[in-house]
Amino acid sequence: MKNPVYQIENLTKIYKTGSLTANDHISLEIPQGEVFGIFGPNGAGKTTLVRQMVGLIKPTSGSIHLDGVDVIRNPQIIPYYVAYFAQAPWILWSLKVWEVIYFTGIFRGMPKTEAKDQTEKLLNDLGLAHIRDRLMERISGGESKLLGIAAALIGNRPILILDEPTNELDPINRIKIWNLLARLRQENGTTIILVTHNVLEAEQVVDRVMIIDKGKIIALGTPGELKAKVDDRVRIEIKFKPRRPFDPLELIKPFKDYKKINPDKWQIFIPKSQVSSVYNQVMSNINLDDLDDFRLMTTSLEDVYIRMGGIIADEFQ
Amino acid sequence: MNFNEKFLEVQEPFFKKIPGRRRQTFTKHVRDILYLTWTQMLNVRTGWVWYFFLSSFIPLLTLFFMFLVLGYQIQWAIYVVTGNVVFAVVLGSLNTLAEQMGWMKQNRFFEHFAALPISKISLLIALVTRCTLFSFPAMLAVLVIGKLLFKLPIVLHPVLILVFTLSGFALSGIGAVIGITSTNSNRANIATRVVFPILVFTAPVLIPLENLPVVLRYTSVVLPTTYIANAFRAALSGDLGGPFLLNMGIIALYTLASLYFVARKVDWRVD
Repeated sequence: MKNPVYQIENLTKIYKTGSLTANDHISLEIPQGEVFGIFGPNGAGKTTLVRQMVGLIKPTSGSIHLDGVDVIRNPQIIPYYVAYFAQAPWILWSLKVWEVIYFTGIFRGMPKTEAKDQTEKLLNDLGLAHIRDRLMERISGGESKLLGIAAALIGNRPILILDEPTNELDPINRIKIWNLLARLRQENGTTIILVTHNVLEAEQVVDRVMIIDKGKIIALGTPGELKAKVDDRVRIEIKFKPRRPFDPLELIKPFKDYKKINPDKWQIFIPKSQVSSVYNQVMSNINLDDLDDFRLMTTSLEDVYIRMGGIIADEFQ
Repeated sequence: MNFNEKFLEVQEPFFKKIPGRRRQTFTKHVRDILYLTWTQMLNVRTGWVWYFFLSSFIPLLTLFFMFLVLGYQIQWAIYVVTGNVVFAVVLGSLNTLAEQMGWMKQNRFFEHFAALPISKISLLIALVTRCTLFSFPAMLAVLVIGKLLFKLPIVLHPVLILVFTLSGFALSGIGAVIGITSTNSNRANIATRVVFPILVFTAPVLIPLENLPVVLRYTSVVLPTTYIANAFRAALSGDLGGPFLLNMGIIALYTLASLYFVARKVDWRVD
């Protein structure tokens, strides 16, 4: 592992009100340049964890070191290293879009010309150039999200922590954000810590993943490691057209491990070694005209996310 | 720095400018205060008329009411005018900032600033400065209209700018204390409604000290409005001697004490 930028040991947070244990003895290291994903259901303690990492919440016990410095005792150094995006900067509601980004750069210590240049670049990169002179109070929810991300990016902090960056964004803007993050890591070596529910999309960019539930880590590793732990099988998903001259069950039954999603949609689970023979068998018995959709899938990070925790599974199935 | 070479290659020029791991430099503080004040001013670009209205409406109304009821030849005319100026400062600085800080706290808006490398005191000074600057027009309006209504032979000495500024800072500082110690904007609002009459009516602001009930003559010693009103009256009569300087010194102490308290009390971090 490269030098860890964040070292967290036995981090526990118990809120005074309600005695809720939001984080329970969490230990992890995040190396420089890694894209680290934090997943978990609502109320799992993800945001509490990152808010402690950026110095906004005092931990109850445990330690957080940033680049070797104890940041529980010295939280004032965190903003020099870390850019944090949690929500759009609504406090600056009457500032123009460009001003929000520009002044954030100024407060991060950038010279005026540099802040101005980077503001223009970010406005273009994030597709905000056409609303650059609009007041923040007059932009949409998605635009304000993009503006918040632009404000987090200005100043090129070595560590970027993004809490739900793609919520409220349309698919095109979501892709734009994922591509931008991948480029940031590649070009600048930025360490990126992501809290997100868009697991399928995040899978394209994350190096390692932590799944957290009820304040505890329930899985930590690379997507490949976690997938192997959960299920090494391949999934064939078949969707039949509603009007068909046969009963799908007759066709599916020979494959012992199957699941009926609905009368038209079925899943077959097979070991990797049998993919070729099962695929041929299925295809030879089905007329393509009776098929609406056919997919061959390995375990996704979303499958891992769904199967790792009971509560998560309940929410999604 | 432990970050790898590739990272350093990109980031080092920037990181060299970081003023150490402990304290910000004085120039960074000054730069931050200037830009924070500027953003605070820009942030009210669509609502400054309301700020002016809120801080001047009641004092001007009271001024006209007293003029209509008592006439212009009243003995305490100077108290009526300066008292309403103090009224305007309390509304424009103390009330506005207390409510705004309560609202910022309730909506976790301080976190936006906490995630930036700026100090609490820089943000606080910027907020206080904005409130003080926005109470200037109301103070001036009350003063000029009061002078005309009551035909007062008052002197508009340049030192009034200093009195305006220090008074605004002192009361904004107290507003900040109320705002930051309230858990939400509603409580801050209620607190200002309790504090407001205490500051204005239990101190020699609208009437002379000897006309206050005996108990209030003693309790008014701890109220900043006593010294603010004294300083205004002295400045307007052109008497800038020892008593004036003493009052200004006490107002400055109130300013420093409130800023110090808020800077110590405000913690970006939640328990």
